[in-house]
Amino acid sequence: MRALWTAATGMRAQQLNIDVIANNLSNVNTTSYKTSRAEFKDLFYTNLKRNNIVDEEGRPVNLEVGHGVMPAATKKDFRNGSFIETNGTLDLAIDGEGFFMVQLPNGDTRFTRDGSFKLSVEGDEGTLVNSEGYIVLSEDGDEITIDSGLMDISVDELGYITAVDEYGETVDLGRIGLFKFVNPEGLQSEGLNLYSVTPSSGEEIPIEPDEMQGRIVQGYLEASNVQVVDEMVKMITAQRAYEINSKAIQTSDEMLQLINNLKR
Amino acid sequence: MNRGLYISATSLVANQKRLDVLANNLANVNTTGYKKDISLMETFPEKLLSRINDKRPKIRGIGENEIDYEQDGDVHRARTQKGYFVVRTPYGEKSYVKEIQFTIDDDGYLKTYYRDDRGEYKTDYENYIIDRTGNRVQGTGNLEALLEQIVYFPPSHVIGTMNAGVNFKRIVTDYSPGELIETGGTFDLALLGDGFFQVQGEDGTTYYTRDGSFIVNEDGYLSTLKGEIVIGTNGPIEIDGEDVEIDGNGVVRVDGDEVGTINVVNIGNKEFLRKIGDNLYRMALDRNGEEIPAEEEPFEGQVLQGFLEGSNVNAISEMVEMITLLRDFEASQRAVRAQDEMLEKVSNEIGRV
Repeated sequence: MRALWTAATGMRAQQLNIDVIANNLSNVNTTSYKTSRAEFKDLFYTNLKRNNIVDEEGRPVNLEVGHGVMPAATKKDFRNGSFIETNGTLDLAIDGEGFFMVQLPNGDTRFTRDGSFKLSVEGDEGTLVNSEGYIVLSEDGDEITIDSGLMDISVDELGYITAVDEYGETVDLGRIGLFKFVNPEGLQSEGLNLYSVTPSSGEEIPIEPDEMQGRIVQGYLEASNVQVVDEMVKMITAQRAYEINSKAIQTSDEMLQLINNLKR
Repeated sequence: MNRGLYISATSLVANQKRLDVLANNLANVNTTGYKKDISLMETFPEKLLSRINDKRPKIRGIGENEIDYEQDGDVHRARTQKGYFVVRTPYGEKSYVKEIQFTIDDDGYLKTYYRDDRGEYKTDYENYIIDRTGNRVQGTGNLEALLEQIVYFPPSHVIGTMNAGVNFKRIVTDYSPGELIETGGTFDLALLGDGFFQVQGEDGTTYYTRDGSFIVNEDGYLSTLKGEIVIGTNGPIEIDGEDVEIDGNGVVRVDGDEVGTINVVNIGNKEFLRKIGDNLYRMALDRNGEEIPAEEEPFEGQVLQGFLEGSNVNAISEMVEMITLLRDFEASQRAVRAQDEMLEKVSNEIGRV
């Protein structure tokens, strides 16, 4: 009974849907988290009857039945989340497009919109790192170091970092690296608010100061863009879809039972 | 042995297939751009029943035969009291019926019809009405007189007709729009109104789809999630830039420059679109293995950026259909059992000496 399996694919699909929604909801307060959405495609179709079912003009007749559904992709929604004031000197939010680049201990790079940065201090020198301790890279791909003597660190809208030294002089500390992608939807989520480059996202493209569409805001963090109401609605529809697919299984089962009862 | 047993079984088989179609609709209740399938059933051809060993077969007296004929728009209905109308099914079999409903197709033939999702009368793969010599009837003007001439009067040993149950006839796709879901994605497109995006697979085959959940592929071209390239009016659409705007006419602007127009077409002969999975459709292949050409018409709707079209499956009506088909199934099963009981009596009680 094909319907039994078809409906099972439906239930599995809704299960995945719920998994994605649950992950969105659990990240409702995660800095710069971007909502995911599961997308589905219909599975292949088979001809119920072949050859003999062609009309007088030789055109085939539609007698194909589908085999259910399969997950096609989870797509990220890269719209901005709301901005939360934190007053942290090293809290940076990207208003608009772009990603910061961080370097893992093994030398690989990852991208993030989570700009809650810290200083990792060694001796009298601090290095700008993210919450995991991964080094935040400047536009030239270097680490950003800040001497202990420097005060009043400020980051302007274009990402230039400056500080004031003990003599009251302004010191340039470079510009924080900001990158964009042809297809950000193609980035792979790595957890820890990090994304990695994939063939479908394309290589990272540095955003030059003169072509910045957005701006960097110091003292703010980007909140998650999860819309709880939307997620709840999605959850309800997913649950109901799960339920009706289970009903289809039940019906198939009842029909099988009836067939079994043909022979007394 | 017992013809009724097989007739009841046809209903069981047909309803099982109906459930297959229905389960597929339900499984795709959340599939982007999915269009639901509707199963259509038909009775098997009505066969003439004759007395065997009738010594003196003769043509039944023609006498007076009244035909009730009425026309209602494109639909014609006729009834005959004596004799039968003969229709020929696409399999080549003849069916004898007292009452016919037909419409006149593009070539002027009298043909049975079905109605598609837009309520239009379609005659592809339908039955032709044939005359006494077996030719298809073509006609305009005074149809009542024409019909009177084609009524078949069976020989006297014919005692009536009987059919052989129900047959799963075809699956019609309902192309009515699904609801729009806002996603905010740059490359998420929905179509308002009838039409399809055209995408091209690796082998160059053109597919149609209502699923506008596109991405930019490795080479920078707009494509589907699986990699079929979206066809623009001037070839593939290359996206190189960050500010992508797609307007209602499908014109794609990247950083303010026009880079192409997404080709959205409406298809006149949608009855030959076939689902192939992955939310794609392609034109059906005919007997010679060639693709039936799509009758492309201009798209009159609108392209919406940041939206996707949901599935058009209506869970309520599908559930209702599921319940009715289960009950149909149950009834047919009862019929089989009743006949089985009769056979039991035949074999065990009558045979008891």
